[in-house]
Amino acid sequence: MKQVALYLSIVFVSVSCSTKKETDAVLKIINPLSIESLKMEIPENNPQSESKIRLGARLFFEPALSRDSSISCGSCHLKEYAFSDTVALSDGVGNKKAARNSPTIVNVGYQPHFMSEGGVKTLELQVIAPLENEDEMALGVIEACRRLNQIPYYQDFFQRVWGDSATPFTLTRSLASFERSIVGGKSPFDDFIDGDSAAISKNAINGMSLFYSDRLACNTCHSGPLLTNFKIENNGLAAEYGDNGLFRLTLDPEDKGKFKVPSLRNISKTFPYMHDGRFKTLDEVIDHYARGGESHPNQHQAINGFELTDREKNDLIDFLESLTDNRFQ
Amino acid sequence: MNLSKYILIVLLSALIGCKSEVPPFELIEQDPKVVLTFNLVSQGQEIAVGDEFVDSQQWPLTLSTLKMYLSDIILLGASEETKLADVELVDIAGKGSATGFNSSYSYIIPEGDYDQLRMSIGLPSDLNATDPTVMPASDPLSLQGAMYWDWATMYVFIMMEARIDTNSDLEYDDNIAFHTGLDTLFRSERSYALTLDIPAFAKDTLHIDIDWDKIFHPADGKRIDLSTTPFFHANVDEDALAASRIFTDNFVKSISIREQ
Ligand code: HEC
Ligand code: HEC
Repeated sequence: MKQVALYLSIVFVSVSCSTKKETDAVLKIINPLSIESLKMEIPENNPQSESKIRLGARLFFEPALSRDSSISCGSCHLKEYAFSDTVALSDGVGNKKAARNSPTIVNVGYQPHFMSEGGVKTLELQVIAPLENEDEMALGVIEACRRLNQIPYYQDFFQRVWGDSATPFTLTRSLASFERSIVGGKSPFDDFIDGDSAAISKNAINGMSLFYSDRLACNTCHSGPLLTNFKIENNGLAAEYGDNGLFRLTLDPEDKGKFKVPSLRNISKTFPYMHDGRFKTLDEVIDHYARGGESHPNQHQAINGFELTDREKNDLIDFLESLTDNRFQ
Repeated sequence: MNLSKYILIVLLSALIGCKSEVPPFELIEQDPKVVLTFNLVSQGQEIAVGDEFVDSQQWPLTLSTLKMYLSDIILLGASEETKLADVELVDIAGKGSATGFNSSYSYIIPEGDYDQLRMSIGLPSDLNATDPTVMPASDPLSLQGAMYWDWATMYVFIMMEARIDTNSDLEYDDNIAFHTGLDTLFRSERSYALTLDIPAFAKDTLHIDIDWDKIFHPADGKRIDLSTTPFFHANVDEDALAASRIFTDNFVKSISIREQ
């Protein structure tokens, strides 16, 4: 919160009495909000390469990776919606539906753990889940490799990139490499923190100070360049949850209803919201937080309600919308 | 896990003349062999995958799957301690199973008298954290075994699935599925008594019986009512965990060893 106030004052000072270059230099140092301050961990056994990313991209949109060849990764992670889906629960193979809302995978390479309870440790291992999941692609990694190895195009492509066929290793590495390349840090908000004080509206600036204020305290959890601290928290969605999140992994009653704090970048495109897609609009999300949640025993203390005028609410939404990287179209 | 590979390495290093890493003993093909054969039994009958059977509680059942991880499998004698394998995936479907794993594994051992088989049921936490995609398909920890809990990046330790007729309509219309895992359900270093006296050049088989009735209806210990608690994954909720714990502990106790 203090950082933002400090930062805002520096912007105003810099616009009047310092050159843009100097401003930039200062901002880079003091400003923790730029995505460039993040470092992506690349596993040693999977360095990024142009051709591998291209293979991964091709695989990402390959419906042959689902049992009935009807869906690809890209069917649930739609590029034009920042690689998320527009429905609460996406369609899997047959008449199945995924158990949770499809999250955005923009900037997913910066995350320390994956899935809503954070139980998956690497992006490579995450690839196994949708392929095996009976409600999603229902094919399995081994069968997926067998299929790919029968298609001359992929035989070639895998040989060129890996000097090997499609295997659980090469398939998961290729997809993970592609996912690490999906980085989005060019939003009006980024231009603003880069020193372009006109990049976002006055209303959005007001919304930004609300977001970081003690009153709303959104940044208790939604902090840093991706507007998440990556922790697994209970944000009070229900008095009793159907899907208990982290509890599934630890079986500790204190973990009931805890889900990974999601990034709020591209939030205007990743509706509907929360792990089950229960809220369709940002308006509904803000109402939820303003109400102070549904009083779950594990609800985080920062979810304690606040009052907001209609105008403030709109300003907050303007700020959230300024986090949209418009290249995902 | 793979003694033939081990032997090959021993031989290779001997050929190369590299003496710096001589193992404590060198086993060769002429040494005696012990075969561990795993069976599911109910009331003295062996149950294969696909078999229909009636258990001690008169439930009509048919077995669909029984797979399990065993680790640190060791044969103990008065003075000898012979490690048979670090990890083995036992698939009761046997040779020709969908996973490619077997219900029977053979090991070369030094000749001698053995009186105990010691093994852990499940995987120790370091192995439970293995990345299955880096393991060759023949390795028990590869995805080939279909024992990986992908959303939690860990392994299922015991997977038992069967179909049951709970309403006597002669149809097996309900599923029983126990998929138990989690580090807390690892059962380390369980010992099973045996008498194995194995001379040079001999081959002997140890039948390791897993008794269905002792898992679900043990004379001592907690019972599992198949008509009311038919479907369990270890980590759905507290009830499932409790049932998985009973299942695991009964499973460990249901194991006995028979020679021939
Ligand atoms: C049927 C829809 C569907 C398909 C197909 C699908 N996903 Fe997902 N994806 C989801 C859902 C739902 C989640 C959230 C899962 C959870 O939190 O438990 C998810 C989560 C993810 C995550 C983790 C994001 C995070 O923030 O933790 C990644 C990465 C991902 N998917 C990549 C892929 C890849 C790669 C493929 C193709 C191999 C794929 N998905 C196929 C629906 C889908
Ligand atoms: C105690 C930590 C915490 C605080 C404080 C918090 N959030 Fe959240 N937020 C979460 C968690 C956890 C989720 C995900 C819940 C889920 O998946 O069910 C979430 C989800 C969201 C989402 C939906 C994201 C998506 O992609 O589905 C939005 C939007 C959001 N929060 C905005 C806010 C705003 C605005 C504030 C301040 C008024 C705020 N949050 C305060 C923890 C928090």
